[in-house]
Amino acid sequence: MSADAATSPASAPHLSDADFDRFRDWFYRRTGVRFADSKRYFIDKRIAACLAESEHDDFGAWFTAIRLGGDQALEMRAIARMTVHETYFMREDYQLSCLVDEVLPEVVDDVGLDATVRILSLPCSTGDEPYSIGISLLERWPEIETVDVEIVGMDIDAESVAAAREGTYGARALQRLSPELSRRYFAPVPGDRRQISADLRSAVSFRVGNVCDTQQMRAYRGYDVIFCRNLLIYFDELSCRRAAENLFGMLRPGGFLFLGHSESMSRISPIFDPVRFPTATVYQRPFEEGS
Amino acid sequence: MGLVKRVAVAASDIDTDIDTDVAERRAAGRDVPGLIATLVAPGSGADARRWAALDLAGEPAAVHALCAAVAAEGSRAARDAMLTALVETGGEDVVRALVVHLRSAGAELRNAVVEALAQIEATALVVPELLADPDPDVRILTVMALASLRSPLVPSWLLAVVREDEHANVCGAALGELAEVGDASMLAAVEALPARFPQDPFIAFAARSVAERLAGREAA
Repeated sequence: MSADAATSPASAPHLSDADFDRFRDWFYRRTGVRFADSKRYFIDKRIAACLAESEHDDFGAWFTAIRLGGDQALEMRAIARMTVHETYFMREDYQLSCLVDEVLPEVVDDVGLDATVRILSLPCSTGDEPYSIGISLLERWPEIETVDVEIVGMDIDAESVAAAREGTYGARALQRLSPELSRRYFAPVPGDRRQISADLRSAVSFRVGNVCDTQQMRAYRGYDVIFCRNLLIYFDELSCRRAAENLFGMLRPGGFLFLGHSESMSRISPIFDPVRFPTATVYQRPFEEGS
Repeated sequence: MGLVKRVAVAASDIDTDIDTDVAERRAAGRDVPGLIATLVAPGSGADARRWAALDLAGEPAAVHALCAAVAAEGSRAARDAMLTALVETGGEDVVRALVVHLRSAGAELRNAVVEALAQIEATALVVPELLADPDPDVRILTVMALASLRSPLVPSWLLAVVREDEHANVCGAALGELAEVGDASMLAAVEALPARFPQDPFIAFAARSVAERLAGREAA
C-alpha cells in the first residue's frame, strides 16, 4: 500500500496542521498507513477530492461523518482515495523472499517432505501474485525438486479469475521482472502483451470466492501459507473480523499468513501470533488453541 | 515433484475444494440448540467451539449462551469467534450481557470485550450508565471503547468525563480520545482540568498537548 499516486485534479483545501494531524492519526489507527509530513500536499489534494464528491462543505463535517457518524461508504471512499490499487508481478517481493528463505523451511519441517505444501493467494486479482509465488519457488527454492507444492488463487471477481486463468499481461504488470525471467516464463501474444507459460498456467488453480463468507471459506482448509495482502485495509471492522476468522480457519495449526506491508493483524484480531522473520513479519495460527 | 494441482478438481469455480464428507457432517445437526450444546460440551475441541460460535452469529437465542461461554473459554481463537458472532448479532441484549465482563479479573477478556463493544452500535445505549459506574476501571474501559465507537455523542461524553469525573486516570484516558474527536469549543474544559488534579503532572502535560491540537479546529 502506498500513498504516492492517485492524486486528483481538485485543488488542495487549506487544511490546518491540527486537522491534518487528526486525519493522519485516525487513518493510521484505522489502516496502519502512516503519512509522512512530506506527503502533506498529496493528502490535502485527496481530501479535497473526497470533500468534492461528498455532501460536506468542510473538513470538520466530513471527518465527523466518517469518525462519528458511521458513514462507512464515505470512510471506504476516503481509504480508497488515500491508497493505491495496483497489482503486478513480484510486488513487495521481500515477502516472497521471506516465503522461500524462512517460511517454507519451517513448513517442510512441520509437514514433512512427503506432504504437499499448500499455498493460497487471495485476492489473486488477475493472477500476478500466485504466478509470482510459483516463479519464486521455481527460481529460488531448490526443494521444489523434492516437495510437491499446490498454489491456489482466489478472488471474489469472476472476471479477474478468468483473466488469471488466461494469464496475459501488459508491460506494466511485468515491469519488476528481469528480462531473463520474462523470457523464461512468458511468450509474446498479439496486442503487445505476454502470456505466462502453459506449465505455470496448468500448475496454479483459480477459484471464485469471498473471504468474508464463512460457509464458503470453511470448504478451504489446511493451507500451510496464505497470502492476503492489501485487502483487509478496505474492509469495515466487522468484515475484517469475519475475514480474520475465516483466514484462521483456512490455515492448518502452525500455518502462516502474509498481510500487506502496511497491514497489521493486531489491529484486527488477537488470534494470530506475529512471527518476526529477518525479512518480514508474518502471522501464524498457533499450534495450541486450548482444549 | 514441483508445482501440482489437486487431483480432485471439479468444473465449477466455487466449492471445488469442499471435503464433501466434512460438509455433509457439518450440515447435519447444526441447529441452534446443537450449536449451543457444542459451546459448553465437556470435551468438545476448541476448533469445534470456534466453528459453532461462528455459526451462531445473528442468532438472538444464542446471545446469553455465547456471552456466558466467552468468560469460560480457554482458547483465544474460540473466544474471539464468540465475540465476532456477538458483534454480528449486535443489539442491546448483547451489549448488556457483555458489559458484565468489564468487571472480569482477566485483562485479556476485558480488552477483548472492549473491542467488541466498540464495534456494536447499541453500545451507545449504555454508555451513560457505564460512565457513571462507581468502579473507575469500568469507566476507563468505557472511554477506551469510545475510542472506536461510532456515535455523534462520543465528543460530548468525553467532554463530560473531562469536566466531571473525579478520577485522574479516567480523565486522562478521555483527554487522549478528545484529541481525535474534539474541537475548539472544548478548549476551556481541557484547560481547566489540571486545576482539578494539581498533584498530577501527567494530566497537566496531556491537557496542554490536547489543547494545542484543539486550538486549531473549528467548533463542530
